[in-house]
Amino acid sequence: MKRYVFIFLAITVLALPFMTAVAQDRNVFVYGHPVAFPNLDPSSGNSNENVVMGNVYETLTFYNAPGSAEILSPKLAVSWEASDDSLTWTFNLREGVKFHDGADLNAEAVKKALDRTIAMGEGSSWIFAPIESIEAVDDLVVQFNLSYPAPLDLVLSAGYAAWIMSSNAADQDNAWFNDGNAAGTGPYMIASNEPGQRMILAANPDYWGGWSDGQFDTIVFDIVEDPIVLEQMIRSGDADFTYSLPFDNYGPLADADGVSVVVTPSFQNLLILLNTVKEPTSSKLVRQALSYSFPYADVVSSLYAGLGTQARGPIPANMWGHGAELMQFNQDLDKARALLAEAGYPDGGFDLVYTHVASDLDEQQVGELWRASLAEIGVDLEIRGLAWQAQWDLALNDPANAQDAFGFYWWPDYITPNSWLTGMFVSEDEPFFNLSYYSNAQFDELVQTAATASGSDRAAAEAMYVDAQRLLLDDAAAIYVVDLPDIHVIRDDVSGYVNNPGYPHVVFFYDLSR
Amino acid sequence: MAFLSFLMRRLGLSVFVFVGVLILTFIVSRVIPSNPAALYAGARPRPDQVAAIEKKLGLDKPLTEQFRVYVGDLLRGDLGDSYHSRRSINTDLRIFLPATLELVIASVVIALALGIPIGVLAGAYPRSAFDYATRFVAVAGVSVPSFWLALIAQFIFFSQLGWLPLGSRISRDASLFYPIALQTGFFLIDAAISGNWQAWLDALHHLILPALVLSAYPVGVTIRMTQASMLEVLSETYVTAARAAGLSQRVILFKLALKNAIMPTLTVVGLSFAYSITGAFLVETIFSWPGVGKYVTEAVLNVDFPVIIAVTLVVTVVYILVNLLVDLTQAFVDPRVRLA
Repeated sequence: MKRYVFIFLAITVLALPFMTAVAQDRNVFVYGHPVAFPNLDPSSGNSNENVVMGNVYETLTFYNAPGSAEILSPKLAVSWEASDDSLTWTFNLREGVKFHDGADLNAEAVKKALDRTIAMGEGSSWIFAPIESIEAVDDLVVQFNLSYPAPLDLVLSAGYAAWIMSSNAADQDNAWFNDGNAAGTGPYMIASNEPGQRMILAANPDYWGGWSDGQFDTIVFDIVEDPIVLEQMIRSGDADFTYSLPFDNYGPLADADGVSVVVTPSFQNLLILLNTVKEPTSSKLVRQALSYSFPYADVVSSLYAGLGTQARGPIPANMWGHGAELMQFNQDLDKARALLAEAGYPDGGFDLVYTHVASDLDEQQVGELWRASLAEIGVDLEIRGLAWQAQWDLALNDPANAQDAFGFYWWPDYITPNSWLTGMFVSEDEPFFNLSYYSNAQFDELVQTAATASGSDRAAAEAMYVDAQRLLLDDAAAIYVVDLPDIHVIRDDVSGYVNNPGYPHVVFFYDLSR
Repeated sequence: MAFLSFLMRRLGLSVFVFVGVLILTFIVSRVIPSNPAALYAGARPRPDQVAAIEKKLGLDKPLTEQFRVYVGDLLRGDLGDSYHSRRSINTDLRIFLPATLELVIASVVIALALGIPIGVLAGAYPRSAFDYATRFVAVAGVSVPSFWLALIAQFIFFSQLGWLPLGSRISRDASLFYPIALQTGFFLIDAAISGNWQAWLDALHHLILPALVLSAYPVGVTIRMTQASMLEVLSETYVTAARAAGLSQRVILFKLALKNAIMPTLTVVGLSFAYSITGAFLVETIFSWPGVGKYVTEAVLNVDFPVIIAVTLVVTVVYILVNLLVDLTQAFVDPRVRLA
């Protein structure tokens, strides 16, 4: 018995070096991925599978990483133009592009792919709401007719829902995609999919961009939930890239040999929406006092290993329309006391309820730090952790009896400054994500005009976005806590990596080499 | 005839348990405040999207109607689709259930292979050093939490000795160069069918550590149970008679006594099989083992009710089947059981 076990083990151990020997004639990149890919359907997937989509499929336009000269660059479309009223958009497609199934990219295929996504109406497909119809004008010319003005070039660069699949694939159902099938135009194809465990991508030899030496021909996603294991993998070189490690571990990791920790601002931020219809936060003075009571510096240094930055307004600093010249609230308890006195609460003396997602320890910590500051101005903060749905329901059901302060993350669905302003602050008949219940006609007007102008006159739009935020800051509709960092870990021998917050945690493997 | 009526009674009882679990989980899933349509729609859905999905999923219908539809699907063998991934749960379980069963079966095989001989010897030599050592191992096996054992095992066999992999079901190289053509979902069986011995060895290599960890509990139980019933059996007069007749110790222990002592052990192992399926959930998470445990953990985090209900039902069925099997074996071996 013992002897057999020993022989078993011996064979098993001996067999492994043989297999690794075979691996060396391939150029393999390993992404230690902390979560599985839930839904591989390019029309409805709007979660972590975006990293697969971004390499297997392509969009008509591509959102460049912040700091690039242009906001967009051509991808499947080589050029595009909008009519003066931004209601008709014409895109000229790239010639000679083939889908993985051999079909040609043409206007019909683009129409069919996007029509599928719109008809399904799931995931992020609502970003196409302005589209009234799509027409294949010519083999390589596709025209979009909109029912209201929208920056369609930006919409079509989205990291969700805007992927173009072949016409054959567009005829398939969700199950087909989730069996690991795909037919995009991207540089990589899905070679195998072991759900919950591993996915392997293989280079698309016919990629329109061509290939050169050093690029990776094989991409492996190892799904590993345990962050400690992920860290082991990246330290030992077993993985080339990962993220979502415990924040405290990034410091030591940055000093480790062969590994770089890449920290860049993301497009996600954390805010606290203040209830503008319920006493006492319905008073602008009270909201301003609360904005001055918040311990910004303490929060920024204690969250995300201090790698985030204090937010200024809703639009993050790496996005156009941010407005670096806008005022920024900082903690000033004397000012807060004075404002409270002016509002009729000389020694505070009221209670507030702050809700956050129960599982989110960062939001909870924000509440605890804030509570300590509020206590100094005589305000008692109740911190209530709820399931997201319960938190949201509480806000939607009856604003006059809802929470006073709502911990909230925002990120754009497609990359436009408008997302933050329209999503959270433009008046809504029925509250949806405007959970401050903010309502300001002048603000609405500015944001609306800016949206229309952003296609044709970006400078004018930018000025209007800044003006709109000035109103928001003066009304203190929310506390702008922190612009979140993207933190990624990559092996040093890989070159070409640039984080693009427009496509969260997506690595464009085609740009990399070793 | 008596056997048949016993079987029917047991089956009837099983159906009753199953229906009970079904109704309970279904009601709980609908009573808990959450909006499944919003979950299905994904992050930050629009109200019109949520309404459309509510309609599509039939969530706008009364609870009894929803239950009727669900049971109808269930009778056709359709467990529904996940709200989170939209994938068919049947498809998912065909992948994840065999992974868990492979692990659990391996752990039970280990439990029998180690536990019975050790238990027999411990029973044969009571109050010896071996007996005390065995007691320690058995009590530790039953009482040490599996996640702790898993971490220690990883530390010793992966970090220190480098003998066994840290986790997952198969190595990256095997996935790349020797992919297993899936048929049953049991890697060891599928690789063997297709003669893919590279992958077979690799899969075995990955199975050893999690299976050993998971076997701690059944090993402990098997040892204790075998030892206890051996002690009892060995004091019987026929054993003394056999000794007097000059039979060898080996024959007495493993041929005569074990045959009479094994029944309670098999019962307990059968029950611990069912226990191991839920015990595997923790072990799977630590070893990145893509089984039902990891699957349902993710579902719970996403409040993905169709998956939670489906997994609860499937585990219930496995429990019921294993219990039934244990009862039937007992009844078959010992006719007195049927009367009970």
